Amino acid sequence: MEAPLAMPVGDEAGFATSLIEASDADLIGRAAQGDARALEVLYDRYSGVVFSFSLRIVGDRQLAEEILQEVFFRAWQQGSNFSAGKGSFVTWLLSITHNMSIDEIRKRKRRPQKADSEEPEQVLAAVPDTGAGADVEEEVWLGTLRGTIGIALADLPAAQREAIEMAYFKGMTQREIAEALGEPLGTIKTRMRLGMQKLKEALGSDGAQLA
Amino acid sequence: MSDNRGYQPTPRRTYRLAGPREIGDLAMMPAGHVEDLAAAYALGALEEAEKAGVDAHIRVCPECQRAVEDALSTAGMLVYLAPQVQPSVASKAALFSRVAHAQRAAIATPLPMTSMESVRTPSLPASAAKDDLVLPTVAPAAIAAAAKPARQSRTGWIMSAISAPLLIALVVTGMWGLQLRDQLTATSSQVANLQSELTNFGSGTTSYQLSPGEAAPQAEGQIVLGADQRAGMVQVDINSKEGAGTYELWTVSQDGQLSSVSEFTVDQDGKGQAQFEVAQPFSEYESFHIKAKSLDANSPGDTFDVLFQDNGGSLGSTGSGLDVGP
Repeated sequence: MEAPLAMPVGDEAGFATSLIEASDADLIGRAAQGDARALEVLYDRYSGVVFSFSLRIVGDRQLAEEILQEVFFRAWQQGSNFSAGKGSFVTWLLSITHNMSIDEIRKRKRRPQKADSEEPEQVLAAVPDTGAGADVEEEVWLGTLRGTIGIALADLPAAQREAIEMAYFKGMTQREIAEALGEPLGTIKTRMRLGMQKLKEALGSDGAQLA
Repeated sequence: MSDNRGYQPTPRRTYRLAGPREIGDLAMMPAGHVEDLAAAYALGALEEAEKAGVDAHIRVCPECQRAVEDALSTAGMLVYLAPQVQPSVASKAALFSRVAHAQRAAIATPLPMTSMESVRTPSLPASAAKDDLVLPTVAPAAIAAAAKPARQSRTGWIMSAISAPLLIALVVTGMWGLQLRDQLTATSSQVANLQSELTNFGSGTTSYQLSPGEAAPQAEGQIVLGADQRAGMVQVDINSKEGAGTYELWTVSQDGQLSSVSEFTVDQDGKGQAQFEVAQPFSEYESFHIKAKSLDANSPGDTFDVLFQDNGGSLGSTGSGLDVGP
């Protein structure tokens, strides 16, 4: 357990505990009102996932750290826009992360690349898996979840899996994927839609847990 | 290879195909339900115009909004495929420094009275006594609003002329409000100064690895210092489940003065962290120590208790590990 940024007024331990036990929706509501301690609890919960995800996409540790900071800063600024009725906080947060990471790699595509630039997969292969945090139970759960998702993805036809990965992790549009693979645009659209549909069916129960 | 074996096609959705005269972005705009675009939307694979079309549509169509949320939820699962890697503690320090800076800047900027809210702001544990104050600060959305210049009506001067007598009356009768505002401004200034004292990470943080002492040679740790070297964050991992407890960060000044500047908890997994603030730049101290909290509140304890010790003046990327305990 990490110490809160500020000592709360009154019953300090009780206050800190109530924040740590508060729901994501409550915390982002408090953060939107300017409570940085609520933001800190959210940061402690999700910084590992946000950072890992961003690193998976951009393949650059420093850039991923910058995106991590920007994601939580935006969440703090735009927390009032979050509506619990429209999906979970973590989905919202990861959606911001995805958009920002993809924007970065699209910007990078427009700039000349160094000859020795590494692919994100190569960078990740060199980074030790440090686990999600101090909570062993959570690490086990994440490991299981990763295995389940990996199997579900591996079970997809290769062409569907490829379309999904090129879009989600490389930031390519359907049109770009079609051009890269030399396939009709309609084919790529179909592969993407079917692949996601099968993935949803395969991950139904786990997805419900996260949502 | 066929990729739709066993797949039952869903009923076609209504789309209006772009006419031959429609070119560019307009041709990509979906005109009917966008359920079929939900997957590509969630994967970030749509062109800008298509995405904008979906955004516009789901604001008015709950059915498609649900489809998009479902797809986002499924896509969100892919996140967990990435190996879990923890960010550096410097990222956390930089983020909260930025948050505090934004709050300070907003307080320093005159805001409409209605935008001010009594919300406490982040501070440092070492200054808990000062933290009893309820600090007037602003919500993040108000900070963003304050950054936007107010628009002036073209006919504003006409309105001003017409309403001048009313304004005079308001000014006279509003003296009480102005006094309150003056008080608030003064308070805000004090708060800005206080926050400046409390949260002074600055923009350029520096990270130092710590050298473990004899009591816990397997321990690891780092200190992140703000640009002014007066505030920072300490993070330790004792790498032992037997290290749980309360720890303190002590400084020893050049003239031998001992000060406990921060107290923090190390959990059952041996991890702990805390922020701290010191009276003078960190490099001006003779040494610092991180140790299990002693029963004697006036002493940093004997060297057996010392978890880390280092010479403040020679902090380097690897730490010097000098034995300069009292």
